[in-house]
Amino acid sequence: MEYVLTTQGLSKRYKGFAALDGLTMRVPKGSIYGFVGRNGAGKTTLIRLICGLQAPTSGSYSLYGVDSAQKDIAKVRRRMGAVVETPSIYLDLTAGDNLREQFRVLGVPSDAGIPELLKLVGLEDTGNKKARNFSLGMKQRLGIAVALAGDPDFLVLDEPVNGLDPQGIIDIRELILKLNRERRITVLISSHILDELSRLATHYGFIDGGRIVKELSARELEAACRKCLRVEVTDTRALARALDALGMEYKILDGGRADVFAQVNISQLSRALDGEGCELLSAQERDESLESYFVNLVGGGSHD
Amino acid sequence: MTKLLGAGFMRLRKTNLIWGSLGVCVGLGALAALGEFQFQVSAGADLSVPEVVQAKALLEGQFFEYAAFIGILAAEFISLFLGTEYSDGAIRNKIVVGHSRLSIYFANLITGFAASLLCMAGYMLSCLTVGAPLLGWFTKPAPLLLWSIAGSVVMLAAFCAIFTFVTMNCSKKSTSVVICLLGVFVLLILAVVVNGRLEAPEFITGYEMSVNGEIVNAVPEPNPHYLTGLEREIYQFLYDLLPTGQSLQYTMLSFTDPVRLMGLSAAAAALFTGAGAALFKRKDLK
Repeated sequence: MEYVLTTQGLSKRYKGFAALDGLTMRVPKGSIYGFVGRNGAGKTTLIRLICGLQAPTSGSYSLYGVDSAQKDIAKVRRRMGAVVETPSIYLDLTAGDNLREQFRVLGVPSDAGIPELLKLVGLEDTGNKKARNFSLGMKQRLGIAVALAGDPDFLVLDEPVNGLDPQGIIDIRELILKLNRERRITVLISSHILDELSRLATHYGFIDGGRIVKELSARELEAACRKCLRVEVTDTRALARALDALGMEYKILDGGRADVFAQVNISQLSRALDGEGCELLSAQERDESLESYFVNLVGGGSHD
Repeated sequence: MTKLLGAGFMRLRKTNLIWGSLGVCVGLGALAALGEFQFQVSAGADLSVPEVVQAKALLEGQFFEYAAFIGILAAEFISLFLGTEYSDGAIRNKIVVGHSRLSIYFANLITGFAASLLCMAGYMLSCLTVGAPLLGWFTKPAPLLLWSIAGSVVMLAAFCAIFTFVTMNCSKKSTSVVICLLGVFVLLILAVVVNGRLEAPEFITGYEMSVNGEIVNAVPEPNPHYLTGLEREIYQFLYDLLPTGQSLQYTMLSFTDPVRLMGLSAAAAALFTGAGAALFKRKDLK
């Protein structure tokens, strides 16, 4: 798999406090990578590092295979766009002028792409209205438009739906999906609004205490969160034979436990196991959401 | 860096701050000339007589006033204009797309300097346009005037380097504005104090009075506050080094060694730019 961003043991310390503590992660090309963590977990710090706003204390990262210590990293950043914390826009300029300004920064020779960009983010009718008079959602969309000015293929969004109203959240979600599907833009999106993230992300990275606790694809997460019956038996090989005979989908977890992904009749299963010479010790229904998965993952103390 | 300069100048054109500052300078230039004309007329001076104009050097007196306040204007303009890069977060857009911190620093320095220079030119042109017909043309030697203009440009570069140093290394716009404005006034007061010490007369006249109150003798005595030797040299160096000290000298056309003043300004500009760029390069941005 090709990765847009990889980090290796990335650390950042501020006066005795470790915001990132040996973080290692990989963002696959073409994905929408949901970066999940509590406030203060280190999400924004990582984004600041990969955007070049701060330098790591130790460790490194690479963008499109170019290491952060190499000189070429500045060139590779040209392929990136980012909205870090708040939208980076001049409040005393109009939406069009903000884009014109960013086109100059990027050295784009023509302003011809500005109307298309404004249309893409739904700001084509703002005319001479200054950005300071925009709603939060409009500012956020303008921030994304500025980030898209250089036609990037990697977009980094830090808490893009924070403080938005329901319609604003839907607008941003649809925009991100559109950018990912139509323009094949890889998106790294940090958020602690898990429900929203679950509608977007194709991959997840769970961060806690400055470290990645778990990294998995949406499919893997779906499997992990799928409604199932967790059974405990004396012999999982016998269980497998019984479930195969019943035509049920399952996953063996270890020598004594398995998850069964079907509507199970306990009496029927118990009889089938009895026929295989195996005992059913316990059965527990499991139904995890992204939220409960996250809480289970980072809810306790240390994850070392 | 040319891309960043293009972006900086575009924003400069779009911001009200530059037009407001330029307007203030143009207005001050015209007001200075008009005010002087009215003062002279009310004092009964006949400005149609060439000898009167020659003796008073009225246009010079007003034309070089810009040197006294251009530092204050640069402090206000640079801290507000460049501080917006932080307050609006727009500085991130430049770094994220791969511009080096050095080029961002230098582009901002040049933009701030160019804008301050424009304001200075605005004052000079308006003062000249209004003042020349009312107060007569310059009467002092042309080289003196040219040295003063050239020197004040380099002095302005030193001011801009100092304010860019502060603003680019301070993440809060309000703090930058306070530091720059407070700083320029402190430097101005310091320059006035130093100038006061340097201007102290070598001798003061002592008076003796008789018993009936009449002054019977006036004897010049050495002034204990008169600076001599190394102390005087230090004060003079400080007066020449401080951009605000230079601004007083250019305003009053009292400088004796313009090359030395320009060299000191250039050195100060280089020092603050080097230190500022080095600090900014290592600064953690949010």
